Amino acid sequence: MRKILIPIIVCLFSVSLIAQHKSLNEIASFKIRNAGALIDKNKDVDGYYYYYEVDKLKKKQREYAIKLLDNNLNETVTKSYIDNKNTILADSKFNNQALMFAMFNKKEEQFKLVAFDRKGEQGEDIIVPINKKEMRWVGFMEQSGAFNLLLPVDNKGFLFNYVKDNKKIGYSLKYIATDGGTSWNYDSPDDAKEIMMLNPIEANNEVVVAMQSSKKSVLSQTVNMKIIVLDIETGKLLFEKEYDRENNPRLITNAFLTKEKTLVLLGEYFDKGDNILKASSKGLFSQIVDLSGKELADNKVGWTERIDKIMPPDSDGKKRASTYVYFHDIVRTQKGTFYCVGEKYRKTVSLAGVLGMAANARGGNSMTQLTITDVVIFEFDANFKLNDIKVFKKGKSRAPSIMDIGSPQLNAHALKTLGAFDYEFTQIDTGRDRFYVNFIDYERLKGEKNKSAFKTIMYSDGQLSQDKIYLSESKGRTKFRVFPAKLGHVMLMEYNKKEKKLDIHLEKLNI
Amino acid sequence: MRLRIFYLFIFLSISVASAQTNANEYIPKNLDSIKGYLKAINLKFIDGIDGKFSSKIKKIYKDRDEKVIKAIEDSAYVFNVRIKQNLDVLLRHVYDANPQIHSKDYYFFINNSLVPNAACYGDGMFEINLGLLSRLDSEDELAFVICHEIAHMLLNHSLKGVTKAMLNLYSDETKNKIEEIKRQEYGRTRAALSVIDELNIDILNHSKEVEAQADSLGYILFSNTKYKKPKALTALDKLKKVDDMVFSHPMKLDSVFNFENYPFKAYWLEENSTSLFDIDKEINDFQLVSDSIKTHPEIVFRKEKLIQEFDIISEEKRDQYFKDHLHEIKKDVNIKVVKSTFDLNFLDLAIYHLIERYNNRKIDIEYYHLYMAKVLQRLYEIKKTHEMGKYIPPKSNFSKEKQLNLIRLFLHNLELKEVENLGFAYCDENQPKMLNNKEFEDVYMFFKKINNQ
Repeated sequence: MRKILIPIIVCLFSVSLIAQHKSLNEIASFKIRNAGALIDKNKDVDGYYYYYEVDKLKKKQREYAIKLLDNNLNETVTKSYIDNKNTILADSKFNNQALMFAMFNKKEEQFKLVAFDRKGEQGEDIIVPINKKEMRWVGFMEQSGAFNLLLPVDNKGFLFNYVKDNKKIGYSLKYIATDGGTSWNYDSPDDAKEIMMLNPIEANNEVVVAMQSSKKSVLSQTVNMKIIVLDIETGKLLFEKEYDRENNPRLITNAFLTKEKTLVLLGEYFDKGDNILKASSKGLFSQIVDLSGKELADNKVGWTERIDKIMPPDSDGKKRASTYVYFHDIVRTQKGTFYCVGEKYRKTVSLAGVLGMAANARGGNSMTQLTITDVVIFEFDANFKLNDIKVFKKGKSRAPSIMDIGSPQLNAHALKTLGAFDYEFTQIDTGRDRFYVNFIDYERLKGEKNKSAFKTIMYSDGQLSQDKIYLSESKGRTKFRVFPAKLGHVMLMEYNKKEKKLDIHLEKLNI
Repeated sequence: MRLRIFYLFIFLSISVASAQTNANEYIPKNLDSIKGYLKAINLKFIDGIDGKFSSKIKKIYKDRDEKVIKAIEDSAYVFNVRIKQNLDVLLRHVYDANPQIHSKDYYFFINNSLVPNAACYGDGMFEINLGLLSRLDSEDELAFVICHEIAHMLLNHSLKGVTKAMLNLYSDETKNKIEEIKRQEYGRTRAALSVIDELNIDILNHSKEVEAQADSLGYILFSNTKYKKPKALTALDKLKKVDDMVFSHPMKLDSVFNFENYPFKAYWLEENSTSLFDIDKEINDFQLVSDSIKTHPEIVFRKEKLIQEFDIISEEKRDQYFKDHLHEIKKDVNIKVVKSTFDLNFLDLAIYHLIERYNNRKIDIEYYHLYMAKVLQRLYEIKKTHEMGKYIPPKSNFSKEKQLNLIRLFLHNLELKEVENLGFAYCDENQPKMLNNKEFEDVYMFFKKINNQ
């Protein structure tokens, strides 16, 4: 934006005159293919990448440019990268030792893992073959939001998670060491009779924690959950904990490894035999196990026994019986307390759906919808005793039900994968013991035009506070978009339609 | 002839009108007159362009004129009466000593930019940046820079440069290269970049010669004046030095912002995140050779050429015999630099200039405290509306400007609540030194109010 130094006395004329030559500039332009942020497991942003196509080369090859910005938006490295014309940049992560890119080539049916060290030197590529069926499953899992294709393990290596077309669909977890250690693979059994998926959710310099889900067939709505814990050095299974429908159905939202070498699992529990995707949960739980798998504590807080009693009314003052909470994240603070973040929702009749149904007797319209309202944050102490529930007002969002006959819970899970909720992401700052919950709110304002706002609820020094950024200027000339940024910040992209000017800048959230 | 009289009138009216107003030094009251003057000289200049590519060249100058007018409307220039009066004295010396200069159409604008730079637009418009006035140390040095710019004008360098570039750009050789690239199936972008690079290098090489020519003629004009001739070399030296570092004054933020009731916090200067790369300069596989050409060698080359041509070193030094108008100008520039950076919300630069100028006794204590308090108030306002990043870039690991980086890190690390406290503590502690200063009192009230005091 500002150039500070150009110490030359000049006769006013510059090389920008070259810009007058349209055809030269057109030929020399880089075409953007995609861009994204380098995000770690706490949703902290290490930097940003831009992937451009530069040139057509022989043998269906292309020259690409990968431009990297640090988390202060300073351009640091622009590397030339040559690969097949069908290559796309699927994911990128940083582990403090290296940067890894997962390059995907649909035609050649492969992933290529490309690493750059901290001097910007490219390492040896790793090829991971993947067939069309596996690709479809990876795409489906990515869309669900519960799938980490690449997970950085700080100062150790990277985990690459993909799908294997075994007898039934299975998984493969590949660990690539960047600290000189051993790389390994952990796969689901080739002859497994169930569809099995894995999502690595936590790792440190000792173990990898992953969530395994399994179901009998694609159409089956019964999902069994299992936590598996692997040795980071060898990839050997240390222990697993099963949460099957018959005995102990649970929906695990988060897992944390603590300094005390324990694993904390958080989520919702159900009655024996309940389907975790369809049924209403019985409450929330926190379970602590040591790294040998021994259960140290299992704390539960029930809806009827405790939660409903202290649940405040909705922000409009009404207390509704048929309101549910969809939990997006559970955060454990450094003090050991817990905060569960969710959005309230309820099933309502859709006027548009009813009218549509009347007009189109063949169907195709949902008569019901999910109405998503306030943000709720549950506060628990270190022993998982529910202390408080705070409600934060948020404008209503409505999403047509996927199916009118399904339970609200099942619809909520389905709509979550379609991005129907207003929740965006939660960032955790372990250093300062803070967290930031971000969501989009459509504010209905009296006497002025309704506005969309990017809202953040922040936890700091034991207190929750709010900040918001409106996503359009009053005159509507400038459009804003908000992207994740380093802890406690957001990246704002402003586009001025009139001047065709794009500006990006970092802003600190106001606590 | 009629036209000349017309814009001579406009030129004079600028001088008169600018002497009358001080209400808004960025947008003068006689803006329409200035626009008329610029349009008139531009029109006259464009009328004189003929030959090959004349329509394309005319368009370049016409577009540029529009950009200048927009820049004036966007407050890129400062119209300060005292600076202008002092500059006029200097210009009069140069013109009187060089009657061959037809200065009737000339006008020197003062640009707010802190880049130590000056420019000749080729049609009679010149500009001098605040950064240059701030960087030079004597009227002699400024006189040499002005003579250099006038030499560009007399040698018609602007038009010659544009024409040369157009001839290159639209030469058969370049056209053939472009056609060849278009026919290429592979590697077209790289090939096109290479042609752009060649054209840029040619322009930059040409510029080196052109600058040396302007130095030579500029020095002849300069030597006709009573200014000290060796100062031509010191002026060039200063321009070379600024390429290394402009903001070198140590910023002791932990003492400037340390208060009895609100002590400085060490974490305000801590960088918490890990860089993606362990490198000390940007890596770019697509960097053009022309991008890496520095201005250093050019200054060295120009200085040596000047010494060889005019034997300046052995020249007998004359005593200074008149009041140094640059010193007078700089009194205003010191204030303007702070005010302009503050007005543009470049608060990192405003803090640097306040501390540097206060420590070097270029501004008085009252101005320092008033503007530091105002900076903190503005910082609070732009943080609250999430706009700070638009004006204050984050710290860059590649920047040589360590002192500026420090301020940027500090400003970005501060949280809104901390600015609230800091602003209040600043005003509270310095209030006894600022009695009867209404503006300071207003800022103090602002911080009192948000601190519920």
